[in-house]
Amino acid sequence: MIVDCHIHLYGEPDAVAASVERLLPYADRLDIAKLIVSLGHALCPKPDAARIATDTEYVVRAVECAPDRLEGLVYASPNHVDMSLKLMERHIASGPLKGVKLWICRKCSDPACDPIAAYAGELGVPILVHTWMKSTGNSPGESTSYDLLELATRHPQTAFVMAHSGGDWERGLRTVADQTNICADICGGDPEAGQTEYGVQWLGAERVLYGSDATGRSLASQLGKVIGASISDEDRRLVLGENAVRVFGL
Amino acid sequence: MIVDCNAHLGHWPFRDIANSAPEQFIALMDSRGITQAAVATFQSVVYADVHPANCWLMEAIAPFAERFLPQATINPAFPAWERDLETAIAAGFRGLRLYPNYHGYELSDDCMHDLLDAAGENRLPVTIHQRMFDERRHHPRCIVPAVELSAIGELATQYHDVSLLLCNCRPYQSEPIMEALSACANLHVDISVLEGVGRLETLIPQIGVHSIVFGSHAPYQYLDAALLKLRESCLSQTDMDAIVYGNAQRLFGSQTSEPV
Repeated sequence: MIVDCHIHLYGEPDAVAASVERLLPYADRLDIAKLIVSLGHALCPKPDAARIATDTEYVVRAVECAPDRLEGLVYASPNHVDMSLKLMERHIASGPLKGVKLWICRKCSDPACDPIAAYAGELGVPILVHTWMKSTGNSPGESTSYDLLELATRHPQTAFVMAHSGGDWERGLRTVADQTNICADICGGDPEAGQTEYGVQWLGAERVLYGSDATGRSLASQLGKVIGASISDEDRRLVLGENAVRVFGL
Repeated sequence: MIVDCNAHLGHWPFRDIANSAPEQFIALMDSRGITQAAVATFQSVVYADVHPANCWLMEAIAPFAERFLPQATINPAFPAWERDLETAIAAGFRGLRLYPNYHGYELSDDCMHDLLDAAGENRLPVTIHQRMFDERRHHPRCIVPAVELSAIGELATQYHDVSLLLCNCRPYQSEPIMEALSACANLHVDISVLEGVGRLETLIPQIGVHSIVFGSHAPYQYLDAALLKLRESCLSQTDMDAIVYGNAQRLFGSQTSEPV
């Protein structure tokens, strides 16, 4: 089974069903069985408390449109910890969502993220953390793999997924190699050959997950990173979906 | 039958690339059903004098000549580039590759006009790589901005007898490029870095299927990434045939008769 662990739906806030309906035929053509949705109908880098609530509710509505195909994550923000914890209680502890998304409003190494990380650990759900290390310069609140390593070291009981393999994937994957509560998704960059093999080499196949960062990215270009990788069939099955099933408790 | 219009062989200085030796790349092509590939060399992107890289390529692919469409890298901003071109034509190269950002000139520079004049006289298609890879991933001491393509429509119109191909380009991010692709029958784009769900099927009505060719940017990128785009989008057989070989045959004069 193929699980795409990193999807964003874009469209009108009140037209979530249409966005889901548009996406699924493309997933069908590539045999992608499940897709994990995060953030809202449009990217909001510095959301206020109300916005993380409405964005998370958007994700819940998306999941309700296709409960057998879509899973979702709470949009948490270290700038709005109380609301983040409330959303996690409402939509994870007492609801259908499977984890938490941290994006770029503040670096994840900031202690303000600690209550969110601790509660995710209590709930037994992972946190998908945006990471990049750009030669051209990160945005002020954008986390690197080093930031994630700090957070994950402080919260060994919590599972983390390092989105984009840290962007600079050679550096990112090496940075977190020994921190076993961090997995990595392969999504969001151009399909540079060797990335998936490098992840399997440094983290082990059981810690590498397929994701696409669609709908901005192509489902196909990112799936090609796994289908085209020189890894064993057993490792490919883990990366394509078995790891996501285990990590997100699907 | 599939013709890959965007491939490289040789040595890339910034990281190890698997399948970049000719025999390895042939094995990759065979495993994925690629009939022919238009190839230049990685090293020519960063060499000041590209001539040795062209010589290396011709020698390296000689045992597999029918599988490759060799592309001579030309740097029209380098002294006596015309001699490199003459040598390339004599050696049997099937087209020209340009890397203006790495070689330090703009599409609007005089040297570009000189090169296109020569390409037209010799009926050689010209491929322009907008970038080699994501600038965010460049070596921090060697960040090379993408080629500024705003002059491409004017060039394609002026040199309407020269076939032009843009590689590693996302045309939908620039209205002038979309307009040029739509208006100029001699201008093409490959699919190697198209992104967005189903982008290929939305691009066809916007610029016309005759403008789009299969290009993978392998082995720098996974070949499967481009192949899966053909499956992700809902394509008619006519459009599929045009993209995977028909347009490339027109572009490069490729006439492979025995599909692999």
